[in-house]
Amino acid sequence: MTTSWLVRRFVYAGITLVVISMIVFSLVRMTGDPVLLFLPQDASQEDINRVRRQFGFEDPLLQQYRRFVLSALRGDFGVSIKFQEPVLDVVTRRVAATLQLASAAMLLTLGVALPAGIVSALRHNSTIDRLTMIIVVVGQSMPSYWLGVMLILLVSVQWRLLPAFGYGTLAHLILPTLTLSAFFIARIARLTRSGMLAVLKSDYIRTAEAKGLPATSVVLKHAFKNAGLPIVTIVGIEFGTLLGGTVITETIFAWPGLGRLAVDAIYARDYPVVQTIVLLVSAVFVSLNLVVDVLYHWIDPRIELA
Amino acid sequence: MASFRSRLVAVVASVVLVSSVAPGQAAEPAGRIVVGTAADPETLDPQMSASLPTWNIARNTFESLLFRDMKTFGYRPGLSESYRMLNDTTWQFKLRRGVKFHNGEDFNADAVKFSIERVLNPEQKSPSRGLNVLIDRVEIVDPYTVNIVTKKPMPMLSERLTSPGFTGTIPMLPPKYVREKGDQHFAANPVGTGPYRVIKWSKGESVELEANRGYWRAVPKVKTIVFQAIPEASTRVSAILTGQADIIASVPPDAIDTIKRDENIRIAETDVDGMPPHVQINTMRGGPLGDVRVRQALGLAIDMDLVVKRLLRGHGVQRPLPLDPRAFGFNPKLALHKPDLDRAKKLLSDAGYANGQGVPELVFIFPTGGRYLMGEAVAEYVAQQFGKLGIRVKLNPGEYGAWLTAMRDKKSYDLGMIGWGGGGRFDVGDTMFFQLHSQSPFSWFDNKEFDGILDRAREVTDPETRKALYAKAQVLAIDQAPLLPAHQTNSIFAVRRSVVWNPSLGEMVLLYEADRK
Repeated sequence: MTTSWLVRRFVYAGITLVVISMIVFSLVRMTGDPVLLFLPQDASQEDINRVRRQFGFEDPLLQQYRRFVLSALRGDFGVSIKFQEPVLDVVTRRVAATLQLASAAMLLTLGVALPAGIVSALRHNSTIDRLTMIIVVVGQSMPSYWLGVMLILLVSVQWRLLPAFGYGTLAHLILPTLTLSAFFIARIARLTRSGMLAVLKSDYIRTAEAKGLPATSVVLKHAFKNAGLPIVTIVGIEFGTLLGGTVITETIFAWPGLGRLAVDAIYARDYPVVQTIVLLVSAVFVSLNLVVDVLYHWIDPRIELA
Repeated sequence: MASFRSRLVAVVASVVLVSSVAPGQAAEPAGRIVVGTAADPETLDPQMSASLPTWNIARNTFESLLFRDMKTFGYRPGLSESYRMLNDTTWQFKLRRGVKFHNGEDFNADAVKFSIERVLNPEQKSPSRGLNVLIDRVEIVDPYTVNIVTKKPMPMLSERLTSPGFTGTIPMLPPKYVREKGDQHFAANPVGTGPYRVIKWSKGESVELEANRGYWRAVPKVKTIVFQAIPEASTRVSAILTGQADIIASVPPDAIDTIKRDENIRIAETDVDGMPPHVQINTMRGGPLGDVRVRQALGLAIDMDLVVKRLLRGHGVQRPLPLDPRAFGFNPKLALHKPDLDRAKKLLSDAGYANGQGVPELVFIFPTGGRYLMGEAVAEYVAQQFGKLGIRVKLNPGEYGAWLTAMRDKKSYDLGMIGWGGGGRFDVGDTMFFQLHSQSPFSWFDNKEFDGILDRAREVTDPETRKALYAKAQVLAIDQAPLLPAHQTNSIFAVRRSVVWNPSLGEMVLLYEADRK
C-alpha cells in the first residue's frame, strides 16, 4: 500500500464530495421555499420577501453556493432555518444517537449472521441449515415498520418487558436494534453461507484438510478469509446506510437520530441542515469505501490497489 | 434535660414546617405527567415559532397581558389588571404588581415594551410580526402602566395580547435575561412568567417542565410535566397502553376502539377543533366557477352531515361556514346546509352547463400526511359527488410545503382545501380575512362588497357595530358560495384515568389545572 495511492484516493474523495455538495445544493433549492414554512400560514407577501432577503435567498445561486462552500471550509455550516441555531450543533446531537443504534445493530448482525452462515454451510442441507434458511427468508421479507410495530405490541404492550419507545438506557436500545438488524442478519447470513459453500468445495481446502490441519483452522483461516470478501463489501455499505440514519425505525421508536432529522429538514426546506447531513453521510460513505478497499488488500493481497 | 431539649427541637422544627406552608397556599406540587405528542418543538422561543409543539410548551410557560377564559372564551385579566382605551388608537394597560419571571426578574412596563418591540423589530425575523404591524409604539407611563399606540384603530390588539395563544400572540419575555444571554440561549432555556418553567430540553425527544413555585396564582398541583415526542401514531397508542405516557394527542380514529378496551384509559376530545379545514372554489379564474350558480350547484352536491358521520365517524360537526361558533362575531342565524342533487343539476343547466358539459376538469389541491383529520378521504368524497353532476375532478395531493406554495397561487387551481383558526384567532373577521378577502395571500375570492364590509369592521372598535358587519359578511359568503359547505373536526386525546385533565380547545394542551389521582 503506497502513500501515493492513499493521496490519490483522498483527492478522488474530495472531488466526489464537491460534486455531491453541488447536486444537493441545487436540488434542495428546486423543491421549494423554506420561508413560507418558517412564517405562519397567514404571512403577508412583504413579510415573505423581507425574510427571504434576510436569509440571503434572493442572491444569485452561484453567490449563495460560494458563500456556503467558503464557510463550510472554515467548519461553519450555517444556521438552521427551522431550529435557529448552528447546524453543526443540531447535527452532532443526533449523530450520537444514530451511532449508538447503528453500532448495536452492526454488532448484533455480525455476532449472529457470521456464525449462522458458517454453521449452515458446514452442515449443508442439515436441519440447522434448513432452519437458518427459513429464518433468513422470513427476516429478509419482514418490512421494518411491520416488525417494529409487532415487537412493540408483543414485548411492550402484551408482556410489559421493555419500553415501547425512547432513548437513553440499554433497555430502550433492544427493540430498535432487533428491528434494524433483522434484515441485515438475514442478508449477511445468506451471503456468508453461499460464500462458504463455494469456498469449501475448492481444491485448496481439500489440500488443507489433507494436510491434517485442525478443522477450526481450515474453516476460519482458510475458508472464511476467502469467503469474506463480498461480506466485507456488503457490511461496509450497510454500515454506511445505518450511519445515514434509518428513518422508519427511528420514527417508530421515537429515536432522536439523523434519519428523522434529515426527513424533517427536507419537509421544512431547511437548506443548511439538509446540505450538511447529505455531505456528512457522503463523507462517511466515501471513507467506508476507502476502508473496504484497504481491507480487501489485507484479506487478499493479490488485489491491486489502483 | 436531654428530653426537654429534644422536645424543644421538635417544637421549633414543627413551627418551621408550619410557617413554610403559608395560609391559603396549596400543598407542595407532586407527581409527574407524561404527554405524548406527534412532534417535538424546534425552538422554545414562542416569539420565533409558528408551530404547534412550540406553542403548546409556551402555553404552559409564558403569559401575556390578558387571559382567555377557556369556558366562556371571553377575556380575563392576566399580567395586566385592567385596560382602557384613551382614544381609538391608544390602549392603556395597568400591569399586575409582584409578578416575577422564572429567573426572579420583575415583570413590569420594561418587559412589556421589550416583548412587543422584539416582535416588531424586522431584524428579529419573528413570524408573529406580520399580524402586529399596526402597532406603532409602546410608551412607558410608569413602571406599572404602559400605553400601546397603534397606527390605525386595531381592535385585534386585545387578541394579540391574550394567552394561551398562537403565532401572532405576544408573550411576555424577561428583557434583562434575553439581552444578557442572547436569542440562541433563550430559545433553548426559555424564561417566562407561567405556571411551569422549562428545566430540561432533550432536543428531538422531550421537554421537561417543573411547577413554578413562585407563581403569582396558586402553584400547580403536579410537579413535573414531560412533553415526549412520539411521531408514529401506533407507538403513541402503545405508549399510553403501557403507561409510558399519561396523555397522548392526535389519536387516530381507528385506534379508539383498542384504547377503549383498556379500562384504565379514557378518550377525551374537544367538541370542535380551532382549525376547521374547508374547500374553497377559485372564483378568480373566470369560466364556469366565476358563475355563482355553478358554485352553488357544487355546494348542493355535498352532504357534509354524511361526511361527519361516516368519514369522521362522528368526530366532528357540520358548520354553515368554516368558523368557530364561539369566536367573536359568529352569526348564529345562519342555517346549516342541506344537500339537494336535483336542484344542483338544475342550477348547472340554468347556467348553461347541463350535465357538466363545458366544465373543464377541476384541479383540486389538498395536503397529505394527516394534516387534516380524514382530509384525503374528504377530498375523494368531493370528487365523487361532483362526478354525479358530470364534472370531473383531478385530485392533486401535495406534501405540506408543496401544497402551501400551491395555495398561494391564485391562478392555477380550481379547488383547494385549507384550514384557518387556532387558539389565537377568536374573531371571525380575523379568520374570514384569510379565507375570503381578496388581499389575503390565500383567498381565491374577489368580491368588492365583501372586502368593503370586512375592511370597515376591522377598524371599528365598537364591538356591536363590528358584530353587525361580520354578520353581514357571513350572509354574503353563503350567498356567493366561494366555499363548499363546511365542517369542523375534533381533536382526540387519550388520558389515563389516574390523571385529572381535559382538553380545552382544539389541540391545545394546558396543564395548569391538571392533577394526579
